[in-house]
Amino acid sequence: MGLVCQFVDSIAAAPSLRLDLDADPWTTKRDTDFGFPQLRRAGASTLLTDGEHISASAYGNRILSLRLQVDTASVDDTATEVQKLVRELNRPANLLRTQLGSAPVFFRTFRSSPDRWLIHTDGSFLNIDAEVIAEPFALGLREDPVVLATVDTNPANANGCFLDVTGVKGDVEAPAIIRWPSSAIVDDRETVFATRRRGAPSGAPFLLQAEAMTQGTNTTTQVNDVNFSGGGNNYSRCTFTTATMQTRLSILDLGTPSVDLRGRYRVLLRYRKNTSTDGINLQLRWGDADGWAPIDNDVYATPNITTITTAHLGEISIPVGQDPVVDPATGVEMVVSDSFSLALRAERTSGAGTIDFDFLLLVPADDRFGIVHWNDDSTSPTDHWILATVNGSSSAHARDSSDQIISAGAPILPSLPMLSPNQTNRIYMLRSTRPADAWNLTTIPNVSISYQPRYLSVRPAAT
Amino acid sequence: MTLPVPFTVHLVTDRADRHITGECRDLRLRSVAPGGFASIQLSLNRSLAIQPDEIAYYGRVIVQDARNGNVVGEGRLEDPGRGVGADGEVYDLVAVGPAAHAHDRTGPLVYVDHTRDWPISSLNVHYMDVSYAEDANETPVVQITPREGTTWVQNDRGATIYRRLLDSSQSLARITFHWDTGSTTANNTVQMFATTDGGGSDLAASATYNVAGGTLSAVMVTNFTSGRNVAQMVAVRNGASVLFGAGSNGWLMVDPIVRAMLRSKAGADVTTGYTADTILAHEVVADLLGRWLDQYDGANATIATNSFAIDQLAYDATDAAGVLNDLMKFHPDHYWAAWEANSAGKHRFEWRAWPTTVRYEADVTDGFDSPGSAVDLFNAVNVEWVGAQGRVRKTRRTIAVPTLDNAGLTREGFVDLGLDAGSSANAIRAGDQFLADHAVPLNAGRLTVARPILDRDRGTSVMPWEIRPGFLVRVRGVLPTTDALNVTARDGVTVFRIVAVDYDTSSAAAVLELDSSPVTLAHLLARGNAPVTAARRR
Repeated sequence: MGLVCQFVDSIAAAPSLRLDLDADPWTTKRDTDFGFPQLRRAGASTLLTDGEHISASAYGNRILSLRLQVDTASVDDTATEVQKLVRELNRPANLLRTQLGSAPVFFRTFRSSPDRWLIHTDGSFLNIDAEVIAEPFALGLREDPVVLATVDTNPANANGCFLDVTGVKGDVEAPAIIRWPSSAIVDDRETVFATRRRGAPSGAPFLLQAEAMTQGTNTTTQVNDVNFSGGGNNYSRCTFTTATMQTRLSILDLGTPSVDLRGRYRVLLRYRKNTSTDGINLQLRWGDADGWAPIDNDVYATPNITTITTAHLGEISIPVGQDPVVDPATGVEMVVSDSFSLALRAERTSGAGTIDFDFLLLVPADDRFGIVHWNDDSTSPTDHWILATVNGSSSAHARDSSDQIISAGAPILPSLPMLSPNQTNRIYMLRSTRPADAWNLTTIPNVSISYQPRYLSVRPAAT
Repeated sequence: MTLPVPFTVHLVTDRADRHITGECRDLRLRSVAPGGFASIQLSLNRSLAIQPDEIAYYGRVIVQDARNGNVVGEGRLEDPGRGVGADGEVYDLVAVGPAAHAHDRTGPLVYVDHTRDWPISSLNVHYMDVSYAEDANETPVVQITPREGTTWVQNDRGATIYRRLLDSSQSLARITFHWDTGSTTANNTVQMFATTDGGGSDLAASATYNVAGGTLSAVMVTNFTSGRNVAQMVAVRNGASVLFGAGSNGWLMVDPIVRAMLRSKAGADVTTGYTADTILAHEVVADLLGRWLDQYDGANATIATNSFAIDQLAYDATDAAGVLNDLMKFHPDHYWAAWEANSAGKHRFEWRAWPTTVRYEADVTDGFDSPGSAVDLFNAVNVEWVGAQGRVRKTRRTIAVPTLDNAGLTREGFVDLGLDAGSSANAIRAGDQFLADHAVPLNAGRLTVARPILDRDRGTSVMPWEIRPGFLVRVRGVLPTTDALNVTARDGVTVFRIVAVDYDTSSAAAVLELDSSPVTLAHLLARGNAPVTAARRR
């Protein structure tokens, strides 16, 4: 198959062709070089130590060195073709499609100009060189690994608060494009998106059912309530006979030693206060270990509501203390012990009511974690939202059922998840996490995840 | 860390909330203690021909850590400078952090006033003289005396009035008169009135003349109606008229103290608890939050408790930052800071003590400089203050500093309390605190951190941009001492206070300013451009 070099209008299997640079009268010469983007680095070095510490790195734009030839029957025809080329190069943004093998890639190019031209005979036969600036990565056709899936807001169920994306194609990470249904949105709702994309995400600690934890002071498990997660006795109640700050739930073991335990996590609690006006404070205590005093996160004051809702209890790190991650002697990632102290403490400063605990969620907060604050009631005609990363920045827009963009109140966006190739990517999705908002156990239908694979060079057939 | 710096940057105005992560250049963040988030600088290419929706005066700039959603910098645009040059059309944006809100409002403010600011009242009859003096203990007093050779007519009054709370729109909470008279008689009475400008008056307390003297105290609700804002000091003749010949002892001397009603940190009036003629720093902080600092989340603010009783704190004109600076003179081991905003747009605020345990463990590998100057070492200090009688006073304090004492040197510093915070007790406190803070050399140095370091408070390693000022850092590779391993304060050698953190995304490294800000050209220029603060009252 010959070299493909075409300016097109979209990243699609059959885009509209703007200018084919390897079809008569154009020829893309074989010394055309699509190059590689330069990796920029920030390094820190002194004479105190050998080597240089690389603090951060990022790819710069790449240069596509096009070596072109145009040969027509007349000078005027050649001039017309050259004008077509210049017009394409002069666009502020364009798409250059190329293909070596069975799958195309697309370069997003920036405004450029030809550098040199060489007249061979009477002006009808020219060699033209152009150094075209383009984004670092070539893009593959859109992939849709998750299509209209259902996410359960009950973490105990299948797809409980997450979706897995596997078989991600590309050379480097790619931004996820998330389709989020309007049915999951109300004004002021806050939705968490987080990512775990290393190791086996299923091995990361996530759900700690209250009834499975060690019951602490004045805390006992309760008979099944359908409003809570799990089977059998499915929640714990604290009666505050001793009202001062005490440990109400605790664990000392995360289950199985694993490299996947390692990480930083945001801890969320699903709970219900049974008397709205009670003054009840919560606090997470964790990390109690030999030689390391336990760490108390900030005290969380529960709002005056009785709906089942969310408490944000701060961050924890597993393991606690300094973690070299890999064995200095072998370079192998070290297994993290499952021995870990985590306790939920609570106090009642006023009132006489009780509090019910459903579960703790440990949401990874060391890769991509963000909270979307919705500003729209998202009633009809809004059908769904598209959350995407455009030019390195998060953006969101609303669409109707015909997939057309419509006006809607823009949400406040965090950074959005990324997908890594050759790795299971778990995208955590917590529908409603704003304190004082209800966390109902329900399902979120029609969630999709797409992406455009990103390549440093050309695209293999399957990856 | 070999990945891009994981920040997201967005601009928020009332017209747009736009992420500009991939478009901004030269992003630099600065946070300080005291203060909190101080500034954000970045450049953005936008057309100068139109006004971008996302750029406006006082628009918000928010920088977050994409890994965990934590805010690493926040501010409001105050200098959206525009220009055209080699980089095209460029907005050079400077956002000032929430610390600037402490300068937003300037005005009079009274907490506890132990001054002679009691001019003659309209109730005062012409033959009653009012003067201002000092008693035997140098305490300022107001003196009311019938003129020699006049007849003090029954029910006639000598009176002075206190109106400062009118100017500051505050209310009376407590009035105290330490009084003395020249005679003992039931025919003359000392009276304390709490009134409302424009009408309404309560006789809050009274006593008949007695050479033994006494103290009258009155508090709101219990002794006078809430909302009173004017106090009056009255000497009244309730017996039969009497001629005052030579040597008559009809004088009254009063040492007056006024306390204004406070607000809670949530903004509610505090109507009880005025049991002392002094105020505590944490009460002042709470009042500032409830009264002036409405951009801070007062209701959820963290305020450390203090115990030093401040007996003079009243301003003709100040801003909240000025008050907080004075509080830090009494408590240099405390600082204030404002950080990220909550969903209601209110910034988290804290008044807290400098920790006594090390939080960060770092080393010098990425760069360290420590001038270690002795220029800030003092073993004596002169505290200048203005007494209630208007006289400029000086209080000298000393401390043993072996480094200086062994060299046979006396280095004397200077602290200015003016009248706003001027009192003997305050001067002693401020002087002693100054000396305690200058007994060990201030580092005035910088530490560069380009790699993760241990954060003991969070139990994990943190990236350079996660390092916060207001905590102690132990630096390995500097002269080690056993004291440094069991530190309870900075030692100027190995353990330092982090007073500022600058993070530059171009170098992906944080520069920590240790113990005090280094004297750089940038800082000198910044000081020169700083607004002139209200002069001290003399």
